[in-house]
Amino acid sequence: MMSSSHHLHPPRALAACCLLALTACANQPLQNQLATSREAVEQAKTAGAPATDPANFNTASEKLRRANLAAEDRKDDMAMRLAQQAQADADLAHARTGATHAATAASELAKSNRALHDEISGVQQSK
Amino acid sequence: MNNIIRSTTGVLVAGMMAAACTTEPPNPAVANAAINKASTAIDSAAADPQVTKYAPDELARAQASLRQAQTIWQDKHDEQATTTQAYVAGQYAATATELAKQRAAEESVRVAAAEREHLLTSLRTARSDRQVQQQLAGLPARATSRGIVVTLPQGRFSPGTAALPADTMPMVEHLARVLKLNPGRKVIIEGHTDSTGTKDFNKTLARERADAVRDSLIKNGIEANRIVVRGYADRYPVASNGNSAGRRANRRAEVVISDTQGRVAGVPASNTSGR
Repeated sequence: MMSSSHHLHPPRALAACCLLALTACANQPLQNQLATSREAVEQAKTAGAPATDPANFNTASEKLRRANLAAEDRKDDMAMRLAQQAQADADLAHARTGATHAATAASELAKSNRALHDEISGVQQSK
Repeated sequence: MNNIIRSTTGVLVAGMMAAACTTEPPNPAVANAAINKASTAIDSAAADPQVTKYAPDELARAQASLRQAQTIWQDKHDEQATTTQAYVAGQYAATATELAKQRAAEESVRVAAAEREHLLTSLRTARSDRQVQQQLAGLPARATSRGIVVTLPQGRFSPGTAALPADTMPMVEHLARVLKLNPGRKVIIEGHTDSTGTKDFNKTLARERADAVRDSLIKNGIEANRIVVRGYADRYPVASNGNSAGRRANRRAEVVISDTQGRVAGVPASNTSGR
């Protein structure tokens, strides 16, 4: 009987401890900012920023990493500032990637249209 | 006395708290440099017409962030928060510039895609026109801005008559074969006269000449609904009516072949005298 109650208690105690820890740590605006920044970095990565704008993308990733470390160390202000910068860097890398891809598409289409135009002239001139 | 001790204690406590919280005093030079840098970036973005056209909201976001940085500095003298906010404002300005570039490029993609559709249609038309011209080889056909025009029968109508000479029949048969090979195309047959005779007479005569060509096309199996007939009298001469050779050239019917969709534009070119 005694041993069984001892087996039941540690998980409960752990859960209670975690809840207490979370309540103590939870700086909700910081958690939200970290999540937003993480998402911004992920989206930039998916868009292809590591290849098109490695400088800003790597800066964003590094700041996000340091923001998470600072949050673990309870340096909330520093974590918040780093997370905000990471988001701005990731957004810039993402936008630069979009601009690069759109410019490529535009120039390829223009090139293809010029080729079509030449082909039409060739057909019209041949008798 | 009590008051002095109390206020001194207060100042001491506040000073101790401040010392515990900040490692260095805020540096106005650092904060101002950050604000100026962001301000320069925002000014150059705002001066770019592409940015104001395609990314006004993002530019406004950068400007709002900069104002926030200035407010933080004025109200709190918090160097770290100010430089972070200024940095973010500068990155927002750069982001606005990139988004504007992206949106401008996307718009030129849309324009080019529409242009491409148009070019593909033109290419199909050009290829088909070339094929028709090859099929018409041997007939007096020429490419014009209105389409391919075949003159039938060139200089073979006798003055005042609309009868097609018997030996032009092979040409009509040839044209009919080409039209059968190109079922999407229709024709406008335009009858013309020289300037001899009255307007009313020439109007009727021109129409009768066009009708003569139409009738023989129908006899050769072309559906009547593919043929439109017009009489222009002597309004569109191709040569001088001052001599008999010119008058003979003006006595004619012209068959304008439509595009592949059955469309023909405009009326004959006026006074194309030197031919």
